[in-house]
Order: sequence, then structure tokens, then C-alpha cells
Amino acid sequence: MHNGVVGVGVIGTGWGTAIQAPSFIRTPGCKVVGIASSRRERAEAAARQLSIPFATDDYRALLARDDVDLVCVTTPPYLHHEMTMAALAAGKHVLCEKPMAVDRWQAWEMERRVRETGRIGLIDFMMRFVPARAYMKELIAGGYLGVPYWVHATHFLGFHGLAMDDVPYDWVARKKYSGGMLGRMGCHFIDAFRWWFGEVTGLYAELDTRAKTRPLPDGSGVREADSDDSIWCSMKLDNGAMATLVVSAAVRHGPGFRIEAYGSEGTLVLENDGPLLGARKGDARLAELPVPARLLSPAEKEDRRLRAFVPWARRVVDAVREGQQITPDFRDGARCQEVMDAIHRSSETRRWVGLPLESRRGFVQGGSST
Amino acid sequence: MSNRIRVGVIGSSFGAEVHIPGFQSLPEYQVVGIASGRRERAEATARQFGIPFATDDYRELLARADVDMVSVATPVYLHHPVTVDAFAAGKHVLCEKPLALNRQQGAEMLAAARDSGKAHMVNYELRFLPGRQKIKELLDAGYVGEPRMVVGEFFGPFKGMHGRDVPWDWLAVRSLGGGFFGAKGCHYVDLYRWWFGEVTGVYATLETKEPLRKVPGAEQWRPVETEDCFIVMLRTERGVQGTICVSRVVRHGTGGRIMVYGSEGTLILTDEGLLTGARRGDKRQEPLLTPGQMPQAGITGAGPQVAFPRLAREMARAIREGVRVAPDMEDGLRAQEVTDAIFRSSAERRWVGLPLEP
Repeated sequence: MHNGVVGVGVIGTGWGTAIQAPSFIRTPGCKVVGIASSRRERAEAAARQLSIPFATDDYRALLARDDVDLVCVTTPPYLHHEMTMAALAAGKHVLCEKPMAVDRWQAWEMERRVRETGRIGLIDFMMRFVPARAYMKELIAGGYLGVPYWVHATHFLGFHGLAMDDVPYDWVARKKYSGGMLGRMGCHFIDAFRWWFGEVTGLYAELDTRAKTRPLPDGSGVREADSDDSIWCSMKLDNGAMATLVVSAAVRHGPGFRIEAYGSEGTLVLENDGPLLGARKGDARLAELPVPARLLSPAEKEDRRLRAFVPWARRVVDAVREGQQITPDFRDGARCQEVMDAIHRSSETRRWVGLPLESRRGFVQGGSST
Repeated sequence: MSNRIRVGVIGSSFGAEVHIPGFQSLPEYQVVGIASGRRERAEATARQFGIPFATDDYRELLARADVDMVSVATPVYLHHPVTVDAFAAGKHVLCEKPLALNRQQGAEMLAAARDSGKAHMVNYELRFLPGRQKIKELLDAGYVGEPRMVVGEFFGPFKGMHGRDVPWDWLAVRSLGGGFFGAKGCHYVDLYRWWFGEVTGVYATLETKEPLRKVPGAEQWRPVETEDCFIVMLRTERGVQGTICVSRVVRHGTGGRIMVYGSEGTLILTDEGLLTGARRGDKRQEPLLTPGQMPQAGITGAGPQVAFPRLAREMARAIREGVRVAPDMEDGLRAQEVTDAIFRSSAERRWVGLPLEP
């Protein structure tokens, strides 16, 4: 670290360029020093646009730089493991995009390596930093709901009337690249359930591809999609509560998302950008629960993604500067990955799948390495 | 007056709340008798509605020559014996939902109906709510394109009461046919069958979150054996995924909504009766029906009171014209089969395909 300033290197020009690099650029105590993309022209364009001094089409060249302390892995999930392991080997701290990996084996290996190297390893579950969600966490921890009974999340997309059938074909349409809505949207809800209530102890799930084809970006026709665009999942949490997740992107003009949490004493409801609604025994009706100022984002009035990522970027930079591991960390990422693996297994076997899943011989999940 | 259908109502709770006022609001019917297991309830109901005959033995009602049809509004465990006896006595039968305790009973009831040649219906009256009728119309006209998903949610308090505050009653007892699935959930099964065809399989979780309820008039708590919340996932023969998420252990909830998604469009109906929709190319969801345009399009408030007379009119048509109307006991049996599969799935924690083995 030069003069206590954290050097940030970003791999990936999609999310990395749209949200992460701009957020770090405005974060005190850090400097975005390089960007990598397998497509050189994209790396160079992003570097020009954001005044980043170094651009490369070889992420290893970024990892080799002394002025990079923190690497942001924002590539498609099938590349996370390889890039994260290489970054840790190069002595870098890592902020890895969600979902953490392709499967739990990769995820737990990454988690073990981060512990072995003593580096900071974080997963970009940035939705935890949406002010209303952070407030929900506080309220739930403070007993607002009483005994939690059921958390129900629905997410129906199709904004501007565009169903997945109309979305240009890219890696998200491919199962083999870990595309699909479970990785894109579902894992945020899984993380929220874990964070608010505790571990998932079992689930039943079905993943579906309802939009069978997607248009090719060049307009030359359509191509078959095989990743999930719809999720059905019924879970049980370790506090006894039920959790449901019903998601589809194969719809038009969906109402967005709604999270409803019900307990013996109270109710919390968050729909899209809010406001957060709540009521407890004795209240007349659900009413707005204003989020305390201390939980508001420095980017409160901006794009909803920046609103969440800007405060998260500040914490990430502080964690790296102070050498202090924070959450959501690789363990959170791997636990979420386990739930995702269980969802795939349940969807294939049409049975309830208990968690945690079996571990490999000589490999204890999340525990001390053996 | 003489050409009115003469009805005997059996059961003085929902019977008095919905059936009797419904029949009395229609020119097709005349309510001539009421039976209730509690004589004083039968007599009080008879006085209240000006019904000439009251009894605590439904067989006396069935024995009367001036009764053409009976309306069965008893607790669920009595549906089978009362209905079978009624057909044997040569009456037309309208039976409350769910049809029976299980599909074996349901099959016997349907067989009795067919043997008797009498008219029969099951009171899935919520089909007749204007919002749900409108959705059926729009679906048949292709509004949503190829239907993909339907999601039905209800996060009550049901009838204004959190599960814990509901007085202990027969709904808490499994062997009497209690449970919130029978009260609320089976309506969604009927609706989904009607809109999207037969159910081909289910996964379900039924839970009891409030295991005790207070006995009315006593400072005593009794156990609840039946579910107060449930999640059901199902698929229909037309490839539609259906979800039912219902809880009555909710003090303040979002109420109810039904969302229908297809390849071309979306329909959303709230329990208050606001129906909105949007198709490919539309800018946003727009109202298709509002409570103002169509009072009682939803279920909130007097939903059953609005819907029941519409179903009763169909029953009159079946009796007078000898035509088959829906939902009849075959529909009731199909829904019962799905219900049995739902309970089996919840117990065995696996997907259960339909139809079930005989």
C-alpha cells in the first residue's frame, strides 16, 4: 500500500466498469490503478473513460503489479475460481462478484485458500448495503418479528415489457457458464435469508427455462437458451422459519421484487425501492419505518446499484487498509454456493435436499483446514 | 312460487352466513328447511330467515317430500355421509368445498351422484368473482399468450384474526376435516384447474406455526392439529407452474394477489378486486377492472356473498335444464385428488405426480 492508499485492480468490464470502478474512484483512501478485460479494446475504452492508468487483456499482468492491493473479480462465475486463486497466490486481497463460483467445491477451496493466505476475501453481496435491508437486519436482530415464521420473496422482472425471450443472447443464457437467474438474482435472496435469519437446513426447488430462445445480438436469428430463467424454492431455516423464493425473468411487466417477513409479533415488507413497511402487534396497519440516517448511503439519490455499492466500497477499502476481515466474506459466499448446489440437486431429483451437503474426504467445510 | 326449487340447508354457520341469504336473494329458490347438529341453532336460524322447518337431524330434512335440493354446509367430515344419503333420498346436492376428507370419499360421492341422476355442484364459488371470471375470459382470448406461471398469495389475517386469536373450533381437528388448506388453499387448486387444466404433480409444505388456540368462553388452550400456513408448487397439463403461498398466522399482511404470467402478457388481481394487465409492447400495467368499475371483483369483504348466488344460479340451471355445470362433483373430486397429493407430498417431502393410484 502506497501512503495508506489502497490500489484497486478490476478484472472485467461489465459490472466492473459500470458500478465497481466508478464507486471505488469516489471512495476515499483508494485508487483504481488498473483494469483487465479479455477484450483489449474494452479494457482500453474503460481505462480512458474512467482515467485508469493501466489497461490489459491479460489479468495476470494486473496481478503482477505492485501497486495493486485489492483485486475485484467481476467476470462471469466460471472464471471466479481461477482468477481468485491466482490473485491470492499473487498476495492480493480479493473482492469477488457473486455467485462466488461454479459449485461449492470451488467455493470452499477459495475459502480455504483465503484463510491460508491471510488475505481479505469478500463476496459482492452488495444488497446487504441497501439502507432498507440493513435496517431490516437490525430490526430482525432486535426481535421486531418475534418468532420468525415465514420469509417470502418474489421477483418478477420483465421491465419495459421485455421478457427473457427478448434479451440478447450472452453467457447468462448458458448453463455451462453458470448463467441464469439463480446466480444473477436468486443468490442475493439466499444471502439475505442467511444474513437475516440463519442457515438453510433443507430445501425443495425447481429451476426452469421458460423462454426457450434468445435473439442473437447481431439480429441474425435466435439461439436456444439452457440456463434457468425461473426459480421456485421452498426452504427451511435453522430457526424453524420457512423461506420461499419465486423468481421469473420469463415474464413481461412484472411488479419487481417483494420481500415479506412474518413472525409471531410483527411483519416487515420491502417492495422494490421501498419504503420499508412494518407493523407489530397493536399497530393499526403496515406503515413506513423510516431508515435511520446513520444507515443511509452516501449515494442515496443515485442509481440504485450505486446506492448500495458506494457504502460497500468504503467498507471494503477500510477492511483492506486495516487488515480487518469483514462480511460478507468467502464463507458467506461458499454457504450461499452450497444452497445453490442444493437447489440444482433438488431440481434434478425432485426431492427435498438437506443441508449442509456432504463434504469431500479430508475436507471440512468452513471449518479449520485438515 | 310453486316452480321455485325448494332447498334444505344443512349447517348453520357458513350455511346461515352465505347459503341461505344467497338462495333467498334469487327468484329460483325457496329455502324450506334448515338442519343443524345443534337444535337451538337450527331454530334460531329458521326464525331469523323465516324458514318453516328446523331440525337437529338432517335425515328428517332428507325425508321431506317438499325438499328438492340440499345444500351441505357442514364441517368437512360430514360431507360424505350427508351427500350420499341425500342422493339416496333423491335430492339434488350442492356441497361445500373441500368435497370430502379424501379422494375415496369423494369418488363414492361422485358415484352416488351419477347413480342418482340428480344435479350436483361443489361450492367453489370464488370462480364466480368478477375478477376471476374476467381472467378466465382474457386467458381464453390469449391475452397472456402461452401461460407460464400463476402465483397465488394470501398473507392474512383471515377474517381479521391472526391465527393465534382464532377461537379453537373444528378447523383445528384433522379428523373433522379442519385446516387452513381446506378453508383457503383448495380454492386456488380449483382456480388453477379451471384456468390451466388438470394438475400433473405437486410439491407442498404445510406447517402449524401456532400450535395452541383458546377455547371460546374458557381460559383454556387446546392443541391445533392442522396447518395454519402452506406453500404449494404444482404443474398443470398445459405446462403452467402454479404456486400457492398462504398464511393466516399473520397480524399485518400484504393481503392477497394472484399473478398470471405468460409469454405475451401479465395479469395481476388483488384480493380487493383491482385487476391490472400488460402485454408485450404496452408501457405499463393498466387497470382492466377496478373495484369502482366492478364492485366486489375481489374477495375482500363480502366475496363469498357476492359469488355464491352466481354459482347457485348455475345449480338452478343444472336442475331445470338437466345440463352439466361447473364446478360439479367431478371437479370437486379432481381438486380432492390434488389435495390428497399435497398432503402426501408434505409428509414425504417429495414431488408427487398425479393422478394418484386408485
